[in-house]
Amino acid sequence: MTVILVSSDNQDFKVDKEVAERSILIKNMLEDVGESDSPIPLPNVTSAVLTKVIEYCEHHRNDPVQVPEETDDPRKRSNDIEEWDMKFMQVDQEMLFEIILAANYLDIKPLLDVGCKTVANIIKGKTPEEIRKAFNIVNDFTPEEEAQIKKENEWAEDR
Amino acid sequence: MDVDMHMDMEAKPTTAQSGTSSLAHPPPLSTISLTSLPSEIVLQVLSFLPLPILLAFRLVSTWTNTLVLEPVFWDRLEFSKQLLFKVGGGAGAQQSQHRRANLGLGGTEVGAGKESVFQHSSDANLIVHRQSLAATSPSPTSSWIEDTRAAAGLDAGGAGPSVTISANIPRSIQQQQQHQQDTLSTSPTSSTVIQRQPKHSPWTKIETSFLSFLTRLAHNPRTARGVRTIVLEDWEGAESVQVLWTTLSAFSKLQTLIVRNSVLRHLRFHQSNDYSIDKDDGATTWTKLLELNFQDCALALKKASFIHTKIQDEDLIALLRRSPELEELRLDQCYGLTVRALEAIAFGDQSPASFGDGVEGQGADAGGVLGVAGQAPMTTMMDQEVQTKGSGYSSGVET
Repeated sequence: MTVILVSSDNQDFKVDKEVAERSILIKNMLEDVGESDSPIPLPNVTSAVLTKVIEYCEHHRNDPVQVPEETDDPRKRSNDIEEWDMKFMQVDQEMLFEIILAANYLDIKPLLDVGCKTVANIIKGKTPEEIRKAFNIVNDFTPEEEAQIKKENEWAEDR
Repeated sequence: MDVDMHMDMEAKPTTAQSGTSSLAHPPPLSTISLTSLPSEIVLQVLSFLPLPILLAFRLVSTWTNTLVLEPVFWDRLEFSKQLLFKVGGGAGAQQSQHRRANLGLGGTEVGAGKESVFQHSSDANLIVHRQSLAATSPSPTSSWIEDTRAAAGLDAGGAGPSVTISANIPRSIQQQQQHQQDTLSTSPTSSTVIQRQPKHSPWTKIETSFLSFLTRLAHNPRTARGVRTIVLEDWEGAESVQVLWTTLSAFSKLQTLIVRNSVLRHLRFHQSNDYSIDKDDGATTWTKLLELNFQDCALALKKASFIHTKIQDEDLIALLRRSPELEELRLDQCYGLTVRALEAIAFGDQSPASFGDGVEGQGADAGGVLGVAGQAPMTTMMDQEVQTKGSGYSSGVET
């Protein structure tokens, strides 16, 4: 069985129901409407982004449902991205954020996780100044505020 | 501690620390950027950052600083040398391991059983009040008392202290102890000698930094309420510890407080069913506290009062082991204590094994911890007065 997804720029995407249901949002919608051929509008997702999202869902169509796990380490790890996912996420920054927003909207948690990990990996290894440049953020601290925060951070600096 | 610590604490909220309840961020640029993502997504991104990088992210802008101080990241706070210094590297790690070995974690190591329950380095009196208990308790066997007295270094049948009224610390024990301390101080190769840190060691500076960070979290009520667990290890700053206690009191929803191998002063538990910390403007109470653990800490207690409490032998023993400065101990109507424990304390018993089955069985593990977990907190009042000596953790536990 297939379903038709309609992007915000009115492009239709015919995908297997199993693939579409990687999105919890779509899965719930399909359950609500029952057996229907009606297309599913996705007004928050452009065709370019939806293409990528479908590509991800196709690749992971047989993955088991993700169960949130309690780990000893409260801080999650960002270096456990699968190779395919890593390559999949090699897109420009705007597309990366678009995919993250789409994953959030469509409720595709594994995709959202991979997107967030990818952004976290961009942040890692960069100085605050480099992060500002990478994400176009303005430094609005006073020198005193900056000095105070540096002092507060000393205890956790890598040694 | 740095002189400007109090100034930091009193400082008015800066742009960076204000507005943590609002996650408003700069207006989005023409294209999607990190700053235009919903806050919950950015917080999820940050959750994948290790602690040092997360904290460094604060320095990017006031917006990132606000995000990092969100409660979601600060459910548990941990501060220790072992956490901060890589294993095997740095003087801090080595000293920490060295001291850990000396202190005998868990009380199960070889030599732990030989720790004195109550070591004293002064001419102070030990006063044991047990009026009601004395009236109802059976007398101990003379042989057990003799054994205990022998273990304590008293000659059998000698003029020992009276358990029911008061007991001077026998001079023989004082002399014995002094001899031990002299031996330690003149033996540079001894494994029990602890290298004392200089007053303003780098570690003290790091403690000050952590204290500043704690203060920052404490200034944010929403974040402060989100902190459930605080683990502090190797706190050495005798001057900063009072500020530490005061700051900790802001974390009103704290459930677990573990303080290991640290200097403890100015700590006060009010005589109620709740643990609390003394503040100038009144006590702040941790009503949610379920676990309090002072493992391997030397308490600089001068007086300890457990009147009408349910303190157990093993808790008292653990406390005394870490209270080399104790001058007065009040145990009126402490029906949780066994007669043997009281007598052994009064006689300056040297061996926890002498406390009998009930103590030895539980005390092996619990003896290393003044820890009370669960729903029946020990109701205590302990006053700590400022020590005139250096950090106290070395004198009361090394034998």
